[in-house]
Amino acid sequence: MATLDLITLTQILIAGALTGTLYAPLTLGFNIIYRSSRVVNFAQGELLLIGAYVAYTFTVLVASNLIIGLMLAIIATGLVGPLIERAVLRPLLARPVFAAILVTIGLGISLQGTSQLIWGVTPLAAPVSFPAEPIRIGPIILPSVSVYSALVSTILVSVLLLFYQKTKLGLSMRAAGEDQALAMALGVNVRTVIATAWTISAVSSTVAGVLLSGVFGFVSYYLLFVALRVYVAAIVGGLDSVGGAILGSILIGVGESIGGLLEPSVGPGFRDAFPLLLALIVMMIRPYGLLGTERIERI
Amino acid sequence: MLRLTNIEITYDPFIVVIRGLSLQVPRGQIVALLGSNGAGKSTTLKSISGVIAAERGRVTRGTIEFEGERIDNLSADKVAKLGILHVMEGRRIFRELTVLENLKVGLSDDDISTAFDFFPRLKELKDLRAGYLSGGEQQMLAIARALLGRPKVMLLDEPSLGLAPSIINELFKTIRRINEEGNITILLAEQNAIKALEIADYAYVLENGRIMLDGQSQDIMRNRDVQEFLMGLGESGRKSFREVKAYKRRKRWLS
Ligand SMILES: Nc1ncnc2c1ncn2[C@@H]1O[C@H](COP(=O)(O)OP(=O)(O)OP(=O)(O)O)[C@@H](O)[C@H]1O
Ligand SMILES: [Mg+2]
Repeated sequence: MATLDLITLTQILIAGALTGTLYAPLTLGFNIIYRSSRVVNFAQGELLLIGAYVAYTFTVLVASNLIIGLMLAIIATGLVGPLIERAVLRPLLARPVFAAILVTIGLGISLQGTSQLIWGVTPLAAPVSFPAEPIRIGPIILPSVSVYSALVSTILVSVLLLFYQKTKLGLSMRAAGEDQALAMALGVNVRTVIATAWTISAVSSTVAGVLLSGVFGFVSYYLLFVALRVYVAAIVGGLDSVGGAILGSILIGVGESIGGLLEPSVGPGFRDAFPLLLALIVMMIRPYGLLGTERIERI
Repeated sequence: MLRLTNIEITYDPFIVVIRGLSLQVPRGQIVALLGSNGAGKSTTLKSISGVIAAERGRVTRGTIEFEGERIDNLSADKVAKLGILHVMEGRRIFRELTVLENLKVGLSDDDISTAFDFFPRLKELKDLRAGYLSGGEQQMLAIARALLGRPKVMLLDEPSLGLAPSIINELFKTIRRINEEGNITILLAEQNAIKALEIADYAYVLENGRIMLDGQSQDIMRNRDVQEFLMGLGESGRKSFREVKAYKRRKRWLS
């Protein structure tokens, strides 16, 4: 501890932040569903799991070309959106969101079951393996997967921000998130809005699944536990903010890094506990999350 | 152009709120739907625009036709696309979005200057989050937004609610202008009978989910019972049409 020099510290912070970007696509997926319908999606981890399995199927079993395999996987998981909207969520349109939130719990359980039925319980090969050789930037050494994930997350965020700010559908999504009945009365097709949100979410979760399984080297439902961090990341960042999703993910990543560093002196499990502690502190200071918009309450 | 024939509206599961209601809104007119609290004005408008589904309500009998097409129990976004826009009660706006973003949601003209022609005040406020607007400004925004959808019919639900008299006057003048210059047919639900009758061509009086009376605005305005029950004039102490024999044998609508 005493010999912790500046370079090591920087290294740990940067590595932590980059680990955070690994979670970011999943957090964004969670965020977009919340934002378009105020539904807290408890099946987010399962979307990641299914995404990883589907990516496995297409890259390892179907296509010999990695890029084509990934493309096919993304198209396939993209179809999940309309499917879930039609089958599960449409009857709950413009009803209290609580019902829809409960439904996502059921959805998660059935997706889990389905995935075990199709792909079994033994771990399968990761669809993409990242070069073992770390990337060096000056004195800083970083795992190659983190660099990829940072890149992917940056692209995802930019696209989403443009989508929200510049497109009609993005605006419809924000509007429907606030008041579905009102959006419908103005001619917004809320069914399309929700299907789109789930599609983006599923695709984004698949990206996360590919990255994370790459880190672990296998696909199995252990990935579900990783996904739990995302709920914390999303809440800390601010549920309705794209930037917040990223910031929250990074905060969790950095928290894990620091927690891991302190674990030997504090005790086992601190690596996982420390991010939660950080989250708690943030929430006390900013109840809407780091970048979450404060509800306007006028009386 | 908009015709409701003997409709019955039921909220889930068996709460019948409107019974055998018929009314029509001819093209180009302002038709007022008057009645006190709980009469069923909002329910009627919601059943036309389809938003009633969000409250587990539906039209269980009768028909709603718009330009010859059945629209009862059609989903709200489809009704909107046919040209009927509903400005809901209580100044429903997207509070987290800016005024400008509010104006662009849903069916919306690319040219939003029309909104500012009718409501110049909104132009100064366009970058403010709508939740921060005053009540009157929010009501203007709600109407302006519907206006940009270029509706054939606008359903206005108690635009005067909670606004100061001077603002109400201004607002009702604008509603008249929207009708005349914008060439938009209006069905106006109001408790404020005096104001509504001033701008309406025709009026229906609703009580307990039934139409008690209807006629040209001038006639309704002169009606002693309307003056008493809806305008608070007169002193007999009677409070509803039901107590008045003349309306018990209310005329059956010929559809
Ligand atoms: N979602 C609902 N479920 C059950 N009953 C309802 C529902 N909404 C309204 N009602 C009932 O329907 C009746 C008519 O309500 P409505 O809102 O249409 O009245 P209103 O004429 O608009 O009154 P106000 O002037 O107070 O707005 C009321 O008795 C009300 O209790
Ligand atoms: Mg009402």
